[in-house]
Amino acid sequence: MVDVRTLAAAVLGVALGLLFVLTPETIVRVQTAGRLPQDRHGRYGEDGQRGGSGDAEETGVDGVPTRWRQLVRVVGAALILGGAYFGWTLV
Amino acid sequence: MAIVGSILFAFYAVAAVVVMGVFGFPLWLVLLGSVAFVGVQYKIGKWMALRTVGAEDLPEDRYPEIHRRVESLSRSMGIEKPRLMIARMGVPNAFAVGRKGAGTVVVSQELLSQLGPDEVEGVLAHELAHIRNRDVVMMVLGQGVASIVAIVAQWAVLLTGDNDIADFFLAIVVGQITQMLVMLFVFAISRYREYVADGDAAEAIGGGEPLARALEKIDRGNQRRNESAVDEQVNALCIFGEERGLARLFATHPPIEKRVERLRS
Repeated sequence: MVDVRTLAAAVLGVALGLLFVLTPETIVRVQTAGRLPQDRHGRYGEDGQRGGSGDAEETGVDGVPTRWRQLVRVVGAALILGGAYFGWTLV
Repeated sequence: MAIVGSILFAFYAVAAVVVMGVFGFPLWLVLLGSVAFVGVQYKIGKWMALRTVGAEDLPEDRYPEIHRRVESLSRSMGIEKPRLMIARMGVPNAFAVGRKGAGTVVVSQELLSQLGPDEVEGVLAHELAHIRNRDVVMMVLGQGVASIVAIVAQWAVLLTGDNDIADFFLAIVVGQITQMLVMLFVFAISRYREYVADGDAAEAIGGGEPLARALEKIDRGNQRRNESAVDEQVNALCIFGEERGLARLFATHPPIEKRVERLRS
């Protein structure tokens, strides 16, 4: 019989990991909203979804600092690996 | 909006009841802990925001007109004049931190150089409206509730499992997903508060046209930028981009076109 919690860890881990890898700017926003002013990055009146800043090296095209996005992607990759590992233990 | 706020409170209430039931904490301790948690986030957030953009006080001798306008707007909006700061952000931007009576408005040098005086006034009025309406505090509160609910969800997973490695992993994942779900409601409130701040700003300066023009001007600058070398990257992001579902659900601001439309209606 399949352990439901391990299965949940595998499925949810991979799903969340994919979200981290594909939409790091959304994850950064979820984590920083209310902790830092949401308007701090990007252009006035926007979410940093379009345009971004003048310095693409530092902030990327979505207004979220490139370093933060990379960090979120690394965490996402770790989540996918973790989920895949728990999936593999079920086989 | 009342429904969304009630759902948010319900999330917190469930988390508080779980904490009281599982750990046996009295209600006053749960409430005190929640207030302390949110208070620390608020203080750290304000300090970090000003520090990371390198904000400096906006010198009154160099920008007397801005100080005068903010003073006049603050008076008409019934709040104390906030501290005015300036920073180089690389883009036209402005944001407010703090609360009514202890607010700070930061404007970027680029905003002051690209917008006309009446457009800057519109932007300042919008930020002052955020302070008056306690929107900054609301966001801190929303994030606080989301974090508390996420922590409780993590503990619920841990305490009901066998404490093996899969449980720890599942707890982290469930915590993150829970926080995202609660933040969906916080972002919905945030988008609504933006419209309210726009309306208040329009009322304070006697019309929505200057702020609408400011938003359009900044948006046009973005569109030109998007047509340049970064276009490919932007298009790649558009899978989940501004006009698509997920990013829109997690947006703190409504689309500029809608804001402009409302400001002019």
